Amino acid sequence: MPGELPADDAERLRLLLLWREQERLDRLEARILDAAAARGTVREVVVDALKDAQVADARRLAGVIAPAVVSSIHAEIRNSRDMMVDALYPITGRMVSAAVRDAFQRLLIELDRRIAGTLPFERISARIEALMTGKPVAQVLLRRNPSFLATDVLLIHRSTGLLIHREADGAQALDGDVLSGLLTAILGFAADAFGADGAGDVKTLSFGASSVHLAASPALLLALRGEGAAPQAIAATLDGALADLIEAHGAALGDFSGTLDEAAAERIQLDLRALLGLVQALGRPKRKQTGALIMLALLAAGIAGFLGYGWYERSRVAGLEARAHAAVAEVPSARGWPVIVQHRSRDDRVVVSGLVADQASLVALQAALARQLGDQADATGLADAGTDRLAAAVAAAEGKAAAAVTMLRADQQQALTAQEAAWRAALATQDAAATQRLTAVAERLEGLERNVAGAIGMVEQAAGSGLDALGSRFGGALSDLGGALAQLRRELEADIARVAERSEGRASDLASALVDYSRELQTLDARVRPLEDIAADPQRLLAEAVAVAAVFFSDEDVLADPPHTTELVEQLAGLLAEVPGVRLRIVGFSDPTGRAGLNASLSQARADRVRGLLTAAGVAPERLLTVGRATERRLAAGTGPNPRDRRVEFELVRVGEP
Amino acid sequence: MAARKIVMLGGFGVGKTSLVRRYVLGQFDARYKVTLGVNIYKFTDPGADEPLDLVLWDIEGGEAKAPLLKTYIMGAAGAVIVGDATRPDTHPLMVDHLDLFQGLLPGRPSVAAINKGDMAAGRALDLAATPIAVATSEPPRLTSALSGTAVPDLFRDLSRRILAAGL
Repeated sequence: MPGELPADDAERLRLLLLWREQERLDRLEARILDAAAARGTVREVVVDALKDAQVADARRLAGVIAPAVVSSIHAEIRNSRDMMVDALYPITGRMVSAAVRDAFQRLLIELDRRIAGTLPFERISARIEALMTGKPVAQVLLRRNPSFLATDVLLIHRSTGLLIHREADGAQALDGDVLSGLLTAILGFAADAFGADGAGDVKTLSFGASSVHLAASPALLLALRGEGAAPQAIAATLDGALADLIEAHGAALGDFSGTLDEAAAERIQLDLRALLGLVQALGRPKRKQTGALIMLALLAAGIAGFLGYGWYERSRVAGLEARAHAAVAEVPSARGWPVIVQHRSRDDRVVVSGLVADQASLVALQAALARQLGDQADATGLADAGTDRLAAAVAAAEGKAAAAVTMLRADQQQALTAQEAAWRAALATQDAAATQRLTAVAERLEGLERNVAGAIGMVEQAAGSGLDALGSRFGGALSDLGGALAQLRRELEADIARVAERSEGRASDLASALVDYSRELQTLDARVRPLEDIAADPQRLLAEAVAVAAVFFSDEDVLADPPHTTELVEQLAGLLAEVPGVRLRIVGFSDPTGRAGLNASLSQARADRVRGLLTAAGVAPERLLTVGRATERRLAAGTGPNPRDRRVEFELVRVGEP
Repeated sequence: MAARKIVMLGGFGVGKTSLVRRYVLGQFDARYKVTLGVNIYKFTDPGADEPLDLVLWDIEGGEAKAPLLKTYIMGAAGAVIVGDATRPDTHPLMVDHLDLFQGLLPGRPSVAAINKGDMAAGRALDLAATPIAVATSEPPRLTSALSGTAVPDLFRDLSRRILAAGL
């Protein structure tokens, strides 16, 4: 507290003023603890008292009573142990302090001795600081460790004792409302007990290593709990924080009655969180600037050495890598293929990885690397793309596809032929039935003609025999009948001719339709064939899909078109499931606005987001690689933001890529 | 949730702590323990009409002029004033406590209880004639911390009065 004497000065002042009383107390204590002496003294006192009371044989009676009185005094001392402890505290407290100080001194000496045996950097710096300041090394090291840990801070409405807000690091055992009530009760008790009338307040409560530091105004109480030795600045910090709180929230807190509106509560929470952080920072020890300068000098020396060594190492590695590139250039069939040369510092070897066209190229490249670099080349990461095997596989697949199409065509031709034969048979049946019906009509007509001719003969005969009259009567009618029959015959022949003509026309139309149908079938074949080829090869399907697929983002990692993305992710997951050996690289991009570092992390975040979607759709995580390429391969022109650049694309991971 | 401070006032040994323990913990301990200074409990009554955090200050019993009493009462939203059914001499003190409370915090609600109702069986006890009933025109509740009779109602009634007063 301000104005308070240092402990040692206060102790000296107290001794100066009260040394006589202290000596008397010491003598009294010595006599009380000596039972025989106590009994003697009490006996004398009792004897005098009994004499005064005119009791006969007072001395003998006193001898009997004295032990009981002494026993009572001892019992009283036992019952008043706390009072005795309080009375003795000034003496024992000093002894304990001296003992603790002595123990600490010996601990520091012992620590110094042990620290001297080892020389890590931290200790060297501590020794330098100890030499410069004249303090023991152990004390320097102890001072560098965190000395005070603030656990929670409470803002309390003083008149009601209700908690306004509590900000804590982690869970706290004691309820904030109860703690607030207890603290206000303690303050009330202290004010009443000391009759302070608002002139002062309790500033600190401590118990063991824990302490509560208080700052109070008439309306508010700010309490900070912590463990360890509190920094000196804590009281001023709390007073300042309370003044700030009153200034910022005084209006809201003045008439606090147990509830606070949400906005005010949020602002107070932020202020208390900041205060807790500030006190926690106070509790951490600060390094001396001299230490920092030494550190800086050592760091500069280290950087200089590191840079020199780095330059030498870079030159040497560049030479090794150049030899590896020369080996790659020796193999013409490796040109145009992705071959990566990289130095591996772990075992100082040059790692050559990637793809070459075929097995022959691979063997040639391995031999060239062995010539150039000997054991320092590691070509285990190289693989051949198997173009020779691929060509053979493609030829075989084409043969199979051609056979399948031939078979399909033969089946279709056969089906068409059968259909045509069926139609032709049906037509022939129809034509035969028509001809048959016409033949029957013709036969009946011939019979009728024959009958008419017979009748005419009979008429002529009758005319010859004198029936001329009859002949003249029927001659005209018979002539008409003959004419009618001839007309009927002509019509019938015309019908037969029409039927025959119509049958011929229908057969001709059918043949023509069949030719058209067959042509159309061939056209369809030509269009279907490449599609069939792709459909039969899931890897080609996947490659086709990956080449055109992209996910666009409206902002940060927010999807621009979630339904479309879901459809795309499901399609890719389905294709990946059909091609088990293939891995997918998810490549994130960003638009050019903002800092390069931020764009790199943003593009990576987008790739990670899509990877998460694919994983959720059932794709194994180890099959998905991600990379953020920021503003590489932009789709939009100009330097401003463009949604076309905020995207994720896909690539098939190359065979053999680690 | 809103929190309100409630103080327990009454003579020495009338059962203020027992009433609080019965209400908050649902317990009764026949062994008597004197309260020194103040005990503070926090309780949210699940059976209350409206949820309210009650911070109950169970204050050491005694005269209304006792030191520190004013300090403990300050800021309370309501008071429970308690007397003893077996000790009529504690009844006039209830009025002293009521006067003290209303003098410090005018307009704040209070409820009165005559406790140890279970031990008053067979005694002639006219609640309407008690000094507190005369002073407030409202008879006190006859409560029993032992059986729990009328204890929750006592505190819930006070909660309702606090909310109705807009405190």
